[in-house]
Amino acid sequence: MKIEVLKAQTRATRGSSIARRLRAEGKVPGVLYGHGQEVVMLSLDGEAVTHAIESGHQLVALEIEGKTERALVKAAQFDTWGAALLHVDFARVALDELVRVTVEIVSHGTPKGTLAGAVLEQPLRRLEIACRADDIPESIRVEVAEMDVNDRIHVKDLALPPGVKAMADPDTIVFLVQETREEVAAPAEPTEAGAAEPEVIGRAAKEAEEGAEEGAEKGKEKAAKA
Amino acid sequence: MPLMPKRVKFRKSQRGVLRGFATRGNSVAFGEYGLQSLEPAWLAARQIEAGRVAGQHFLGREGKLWVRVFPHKPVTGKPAEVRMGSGKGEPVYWAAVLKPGSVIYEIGGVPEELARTALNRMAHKLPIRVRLIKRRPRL
Repeated sequence: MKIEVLKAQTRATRGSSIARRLRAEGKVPGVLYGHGQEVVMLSLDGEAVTHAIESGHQLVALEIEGKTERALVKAAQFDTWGAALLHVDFARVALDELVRVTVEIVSHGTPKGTLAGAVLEQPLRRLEIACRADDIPESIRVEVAEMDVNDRIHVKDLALPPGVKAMADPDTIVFLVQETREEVAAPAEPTEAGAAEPEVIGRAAKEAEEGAEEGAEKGKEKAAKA
Repeated sequence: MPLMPKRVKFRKSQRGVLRGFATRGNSVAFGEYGLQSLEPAWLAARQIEAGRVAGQHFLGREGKLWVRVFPHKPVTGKPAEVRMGSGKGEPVYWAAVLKPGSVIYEIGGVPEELARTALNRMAHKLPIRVRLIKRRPRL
């Protein structure tokens, strides 16, 4: 994977109002930590860092005041609309260090089974892998063209690049070609909207108790009359 | 049959207030395309079901459709021509409480054009403004 170079400045101030001001200037607040060294608070160019993250770069070279530090993008926070990057976490890393990252699994080709009306499903979209920091693949491409109906590809079947080890359970299904079920016609709806009501927890027990108490009282009354 | 809880602790609930934006459930998690709400709303179970049926009917046996919201909230009402007072009304329907940004439906396993048309049809069944969003690479 190509190493993206990002320019960053250190910042001494912290807090939500400072972060908000930074964002208004088109910058993104971030933090760099790891390797037992001090935590450095950063401000980065919003456009550059957003582009790097959107294009799936995990390994970056941070140019901080003349010094270059290699780092992994550990976390990125977006706003509700997924449009604005709010904050980025970087973790220091050495290129020959073994790291655990998640990469996208991408299918290639159209499965044979889909021509017969089946659907290609992908229960596992991202795979956790362990590899050297400079060996992180952009994605794991899987050829699915030969898959027929009810065929499955497990984690153990994936052809991973050399030096990359999958951390997920080897029997986890990544792709399967499955026939879709036809929708069963729903039973007729009750005429009254409130006719079907869910069970109320604890009510049945309470009613049974009340019923038992009433029964006991009636029994006493009968005994008194007699 | 519209969605509804199987068991509840209380039959009726208070209305509550709808403030802020969705901080969870605001991105595509299962499929590749999703429908995101742009307004706060109580989405009735029958509206959720209407959208689902429209989408599933259009897709036929292709692809997969996910409903990301569930109507947990009982909404009560009084019958017509009844005087005010005499306590809270009876539950009339169940609603999902949506904040702006919540993803309502997701579609996967179909080409973009098909998913776009299906989600457009589903959006027409909803009482709020929505937009189509795509899955984004996540760290």
